[in-house]
Amino acid sequence: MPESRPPVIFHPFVVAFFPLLSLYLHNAGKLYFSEVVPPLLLALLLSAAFWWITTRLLKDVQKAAIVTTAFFALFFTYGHLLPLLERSLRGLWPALTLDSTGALALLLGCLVGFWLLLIWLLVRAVLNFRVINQFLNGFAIALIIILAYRFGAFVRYREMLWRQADAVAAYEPVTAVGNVSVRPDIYYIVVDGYGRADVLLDLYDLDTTDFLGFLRERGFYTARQSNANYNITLLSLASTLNFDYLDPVAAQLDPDSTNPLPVFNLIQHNRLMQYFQAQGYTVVNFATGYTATELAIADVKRGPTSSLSAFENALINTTPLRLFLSRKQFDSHRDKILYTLEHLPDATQIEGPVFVFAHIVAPHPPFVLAADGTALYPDMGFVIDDGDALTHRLSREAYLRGYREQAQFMSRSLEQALSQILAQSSSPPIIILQGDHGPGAYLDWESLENSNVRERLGILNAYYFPDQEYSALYPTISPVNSFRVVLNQYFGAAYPLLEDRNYFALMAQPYRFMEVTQQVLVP
Amino acid sequence: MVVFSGSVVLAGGLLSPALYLDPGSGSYLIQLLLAAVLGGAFVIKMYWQKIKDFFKNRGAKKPDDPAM
Repeated sequence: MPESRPPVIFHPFVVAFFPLLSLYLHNAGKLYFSEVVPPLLLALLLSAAFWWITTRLLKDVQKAAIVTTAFFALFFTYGHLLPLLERSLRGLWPALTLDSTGALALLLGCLVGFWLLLIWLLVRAVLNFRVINQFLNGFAIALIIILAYRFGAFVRYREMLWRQADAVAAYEPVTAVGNVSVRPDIYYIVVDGYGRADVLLDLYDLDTTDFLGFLRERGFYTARQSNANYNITLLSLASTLNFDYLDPVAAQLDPDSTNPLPVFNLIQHNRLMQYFQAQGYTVVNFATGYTATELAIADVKRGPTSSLSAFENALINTTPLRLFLSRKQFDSHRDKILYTLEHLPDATQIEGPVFVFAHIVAPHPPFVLAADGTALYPDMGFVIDDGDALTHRLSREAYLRGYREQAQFMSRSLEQALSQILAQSSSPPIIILQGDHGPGAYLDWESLENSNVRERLGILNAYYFPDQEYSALYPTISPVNSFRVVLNQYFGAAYPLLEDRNYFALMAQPYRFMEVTQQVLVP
Repeated sequence: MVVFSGSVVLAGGLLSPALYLDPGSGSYLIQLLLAAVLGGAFVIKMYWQKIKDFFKNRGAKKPDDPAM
């Protein structure tokens, strides 16, 4: 008989770990599982502690289990309800966003009220807690089955990726020959979203003449008409770090694929750094909060001692903690930017040649730094997003203003960092300072026609070579050719320079590359 | 069609279009809903005999109902 023996209760634990594994599987192509383990263990521990405490308070282990499960279910569902509510209410109120503290607190109040009502009903024995526990156990078993199904799908997906290995293998390893006895340090500094000077002046009323003047004065070559090859960070970096276009990768995929794993792997195991490691270089990498550019193959990893990972930030956003930790999230993001800018020159102290890869997520949103370095806290939840996904929440005017401030700060800070690198290097280094794409105030992720491709693809692209021999460079050089020039000029390679082509991809179809080369040409 | 849609939702994370981390709210809520339906079915199955007995007894009592 169902009532004759108390059920074995396990649902409080399942409800505590399911949201984390679900979030991981939803982003499995962009995360390492190791990032999930600490918060997963913490959630299980908190669930056990919560159950134990409520058992003491309610003096009933079954009632306490229901209260615990309800708490964790509501806790991890909170942030997921916001977009649902927004979408539901948008018909009535198109400009509605539920990012304000008031709206977030109101939703939290409703959920807490619901939870307290549940406790009251249990205490007053209005609800049959035996049946509820059996229901919740069934609910938990179903969640486990769903997770198992998704995990199976993920494993099959990984296998599919390996079958696509031919596409990756299409990029032959570097076979440089010639004299590489001189091995200069190499700094590849990616300033995410730093646009081209003429675009910034036209659209952002931002004059970067002084910054470019500083670069030229220090001996840099600045490619004044440069455009990114791709408009999305992962595509752009995968291409640059393998100094080739991504057509072979796309050719192996369904045209409508949104699988991030191929480009993720092309960044993580890029042939450029593999070559330099084989040449005795130490690869130095800085924390970004963006798993794709926190490189597994790096020899030295640097970053602030306590900072939130991409997974932790995404997890916080699904819980009421976002109300209390959003400032901490912005602080953590800012700390990574400042840390990298401050510690870039430290690589000059490492013995032997170094390849420094610093991906600085600025002036890309979120806008957390004023021009003078004052800490800013955007009036919205913490997200690393761009384009209309952001201007919907922030307004275009706020984007333009925030970008302008953060870009000014970046320019000033980069001047200091570059000056120190040049001053402290024992022999002149190679430095490439580059935007992976431009800004996105006029970017529509769903429409090429509604996007300003000149804004999105025009980039800062500056080079410092030890001998300042820049004859291989030219004003329209694009990132796909950056390291071809470096490898040819300093490492005895003979890569032909590729035609500079520029592509725009929609977020929903990132491998359907639409060529916009003619559209971005400076008249 | 429903099965296909469900598969897409459950496997949705693997096909997520966002290159930034995506909370996958729609997929998450649908999974909870699906689990709740299955959990409900589980309880009904456990109590199926009692439910049947309940309706049987109601039917058996009808002839004695003084209102008849």
